[in-house]
Amino acid sequence: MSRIGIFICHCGENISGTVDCGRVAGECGNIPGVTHSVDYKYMCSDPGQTIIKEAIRENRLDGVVIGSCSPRMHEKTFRKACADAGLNPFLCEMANLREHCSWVHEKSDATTDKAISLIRILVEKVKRNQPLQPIRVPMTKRALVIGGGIAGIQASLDIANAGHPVILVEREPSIGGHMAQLSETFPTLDCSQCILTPRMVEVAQHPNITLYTYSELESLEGFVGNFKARIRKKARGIDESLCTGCGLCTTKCPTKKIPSEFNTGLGQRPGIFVPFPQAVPNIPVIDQENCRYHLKGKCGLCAKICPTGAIRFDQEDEIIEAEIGAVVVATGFDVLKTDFFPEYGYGRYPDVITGLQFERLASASGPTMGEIRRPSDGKIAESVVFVACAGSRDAAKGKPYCSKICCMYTAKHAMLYKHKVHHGQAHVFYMDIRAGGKMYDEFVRRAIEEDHVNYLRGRVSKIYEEDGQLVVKGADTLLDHRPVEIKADLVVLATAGVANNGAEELAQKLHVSYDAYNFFAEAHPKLMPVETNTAGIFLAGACQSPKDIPESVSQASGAAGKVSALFGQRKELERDPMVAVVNRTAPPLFSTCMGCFLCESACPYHAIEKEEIRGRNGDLIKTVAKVNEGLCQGCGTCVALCKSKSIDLMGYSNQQMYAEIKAL
Amino acid sequence: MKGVSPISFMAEHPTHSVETPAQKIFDHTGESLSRCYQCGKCTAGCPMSEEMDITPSRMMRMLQYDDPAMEEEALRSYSVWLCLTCGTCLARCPQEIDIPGVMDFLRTESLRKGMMNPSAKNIVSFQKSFIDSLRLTGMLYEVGLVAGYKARTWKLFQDMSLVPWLFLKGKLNLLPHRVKDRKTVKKIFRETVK
Amino acid sequence: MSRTGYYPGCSLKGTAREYEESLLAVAEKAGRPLAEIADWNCCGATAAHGTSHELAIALPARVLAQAITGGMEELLVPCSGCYNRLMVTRHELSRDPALRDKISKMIGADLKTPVRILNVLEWLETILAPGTEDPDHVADQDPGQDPPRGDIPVRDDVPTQGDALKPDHDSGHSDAGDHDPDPVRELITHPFNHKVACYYGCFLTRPVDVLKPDSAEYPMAMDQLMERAGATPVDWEFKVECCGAAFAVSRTTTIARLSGLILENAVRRGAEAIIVACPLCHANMDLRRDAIQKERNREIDLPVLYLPQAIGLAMGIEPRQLGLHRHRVPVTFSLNPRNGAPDQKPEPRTAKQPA
Repeated sequence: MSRIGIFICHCGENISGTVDCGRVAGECGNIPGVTHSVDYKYMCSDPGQTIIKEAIRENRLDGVVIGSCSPRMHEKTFRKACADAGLNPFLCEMANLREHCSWVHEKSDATTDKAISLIRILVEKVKRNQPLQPIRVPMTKRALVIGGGIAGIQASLDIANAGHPVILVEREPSIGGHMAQLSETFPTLDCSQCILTPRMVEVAQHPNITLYTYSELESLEGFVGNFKARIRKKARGIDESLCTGCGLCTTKCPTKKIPSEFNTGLGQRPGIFVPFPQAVPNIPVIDQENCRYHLKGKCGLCAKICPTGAIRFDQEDEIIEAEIGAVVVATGFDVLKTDFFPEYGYGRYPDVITGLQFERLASASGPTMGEIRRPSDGKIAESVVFVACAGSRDAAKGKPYCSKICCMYTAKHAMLYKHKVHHGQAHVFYMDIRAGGKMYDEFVRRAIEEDHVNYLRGRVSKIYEEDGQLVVKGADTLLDHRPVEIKADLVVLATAGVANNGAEELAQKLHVSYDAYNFFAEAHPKLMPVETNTAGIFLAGACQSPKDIPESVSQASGAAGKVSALFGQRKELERDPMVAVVNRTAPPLFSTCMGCFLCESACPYHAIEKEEIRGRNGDLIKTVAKVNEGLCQGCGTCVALCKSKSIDLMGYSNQQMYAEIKAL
Repeated sequence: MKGVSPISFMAEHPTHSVETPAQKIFDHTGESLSRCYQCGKCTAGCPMSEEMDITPSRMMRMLQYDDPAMEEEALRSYSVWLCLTCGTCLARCPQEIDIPGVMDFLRTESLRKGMMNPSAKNIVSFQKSFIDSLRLTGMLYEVGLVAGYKARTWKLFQDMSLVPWLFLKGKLNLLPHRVKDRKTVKKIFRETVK
Repeated sequence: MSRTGYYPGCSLKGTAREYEESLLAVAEKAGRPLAEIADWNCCGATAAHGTSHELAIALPARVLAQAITGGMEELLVPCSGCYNRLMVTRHELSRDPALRDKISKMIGADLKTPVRILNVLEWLETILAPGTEDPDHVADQDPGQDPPRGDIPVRDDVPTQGDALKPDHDSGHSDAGDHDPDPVRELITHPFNHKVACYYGCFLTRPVDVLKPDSAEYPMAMDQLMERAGATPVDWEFKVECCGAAFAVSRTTTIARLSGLILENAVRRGAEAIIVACPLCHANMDLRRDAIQKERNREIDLPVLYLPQAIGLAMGIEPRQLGLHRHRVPVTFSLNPRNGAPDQKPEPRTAKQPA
């Protein structure tokens, strides 16, 4: 006869609000095999855990069922408590009385009855639980950081400085990300490049960091501590070992008028180019889509001029394979293309630009050398209208969420404009000013009070051109909801921050969850903000949601801390033993497995191997399936498919499942 | 804002048995005014907002209050009659609130309660004459409409210069067309216009 | 072969009779005669939905029922105002079965049979479908003028007007197309070689999720038709702004202000004519020209043409047959046949003060 203990948690009022916890504990005490049953306000608290531990010792319990929240939340807590009291942790099970019962039902007797049923079925399971031992697997202590913006840079440096090797993969020809494009940064107005480029150089020179730019993750397989990454290093057309970065090729290239990605289309670049002078690495890339040699088979001017003979037109993509222990995803964000707003005329009027384009205009290294000249005719803009929430907080055509950074960068833009064009007029249409952050609101007030930026509360309905100027039709909701028309030389739309293109595809490659807007999902919004639901994969920066620089850097350091903590463990990693096992029996059968290997074709993790059973003389008796414990994720697909019922899942055996169903 | 009651506003979840303005609008049009976050884009794009006494976004704000005085002010406004139902506001509203639909409802309420704004006399008269013409013939009879409108407004000489010209150009029919199926037209009016 | 019914609406029998005249002339010339549906009634216009929601549904519903009774699969509704009311009505009836049953009972007719409602753009598109060899030739001519697309999020699977404009929809109107790969070349004998401002107004574009225009803010469907007729559509700003609509009689000051802004922008962008598809827009910009000139304090002699009038001219139809003499602002275009004498300069348009 079993000796099982039941522990019912009130979860404050989360469970006891609709479930009569006292009655659950009382009635569950009568289930055959149960010798102890109690309820308590917070079972996960220290006193709560003490109750469990003492009960195990005093009643010599051989199984525990805890009726509380989701196992996602506290399975580790309770299993550890059991282990502390000398009970094999896998003899402890949790019934989810909160998400599965109290939160989804009204207060009633039926709700309490359901809670009792949930406990009863787990009692039947626990009676059949086997003591299990965690599986130990080796761990590769090397991190992969995807994305070389400020978040990826920070994460790489932190991990590398903790003494672990890092591979940093960046899709573009240079690291630096969006921060390299920014003019000055709020709320201190530091020059963005001045604070960023030293970090970029540090990455390039760090002995623990291997940098692959112009490269993308091709695939990632395996599991925490044992990932295998394949990285596609796209053909740069340059022998990197020979290139000195002299830049001669970029000045001689006859194809010069390609819109510069780095300058957001406001400037031009040649067919062989370095995105910006401070690029890391300072090695050009041949843009095959525009290169004359690649298009027409003739030219090759760069090859002729290169003093070291580094040009390689026939270079091919290279696949690099690496063993990885943990991954930090820091792929950043993009800005919403404003064709969502035909009423704002973006694309039809060259002088309607995005905030990111304004950064390039205001940047000292930008296409106008920092002068606020409008794109259409190069005239200094005498009047600028900034439109906040262009695409954010707009469920109809844009994104329903607040992009968080726009209020601050718009204030910064208006301020920079006033600093550059003293007599100019700056107007900001806004809905709310969200300036929560250290010195943030003070910064916005400064724009209004000291730089006399005209803030109007209202949204813009239409922008159109008349006599070489843009007419902005807005409203002032603080002035009796009056319609307002302002003539401007330049209109800057604070377009919503959106997930980077390719985010969805990358999330699927990594097996991490993502939200409706393709931002990567953290494991817990409050308590696990840098973890994903996949062990060993962490998040940093704006790929999780729009973020400013300080936040991205903090999160990157957080993710790096998690990676370092993981690598700081012993050599081996412990895993839950909930894996599939192919049965073994006495000779002459050895196993009921018939060797059909249907399981092998079905296993999503490639965890099924072949094992040859041989007699004493070495003759092959039969070939049977064998599960690689390191790779198996315990999904159970093979169990369902096995024709001879030779595979079972540890901790979730068919026998246990049937017992649960019968107990209902 | 006179006589604003304490924070009992923000309708949608009525605490009294009497329906709040927002609740009434929700019941009749399916539009939830609590969605309006007062960005003012409707007012900014409305072709009539510069002529209105209460611009669209302000109207939405007033109707968010659980205040009968505010509701009456809305129903007595000139704006409900100045709305052209051109739909620009709805096309651009980030929250997709059917403001023309709400305005339609306010017009019918204003008519029902006899709260039409005195400045809107012409517009209301024109609408009434139009409906009369329809009730009578099932069609718009332009001569009858204009005659009825002029009789209502005493604007006998307005536009009179256009009439001979229209007649000469063959644009006016002196006798009305009529729908043959008079019974159905009558039934429609009997059942829909209270 | 599907049957296309025709619902003129009240205006086309009165102040907008030149709209009907030109439409019928184009239909005849294209070999696609129109069958007027029997004993129709007024759609109720703006006045009905300002009076009673159900009245505003019941009146157009009866028109739809008349088309169904007449065995029509398609219904051409040239007046934008009527088109708008019929589309909104069909939308409301389809999303509210209880309302449909109630109205069905009220008017004593079936409302369940689907009828495709065509506006004048969609109908003309079936006539001026581009040749099959090069369906994109319109876009190819001037890609620079293409407005940003993709502004309307797709809300459900109802086809957009743009889709309906594609030549291959099975309306059975492909007879002309079967014999001649390029009906445009065959029909457009006198290219309308003038700069035009295509004006869509409210009723062809809004509500966006019911009417599904090719763009809510910068539609191109009419521009493409006029381009096929040989015209050069100008890039202008007031394509979908409101002209003042139903205030034609009751509030002329508003008409003068709103229509004046529209006309002025068209003039500013070099248009020689403004093309419309709505009797109200026409009345406001043509009949009310005196008031507009007074309000803008300038002379504006820009003529206002119904779309079938402009297309009709390009098809070589006599101006009188198209009712051009009924306009307040005179229209004096002289178009040359495509394959006639070597390029003559069109005679300058004589600008006359309205009588």
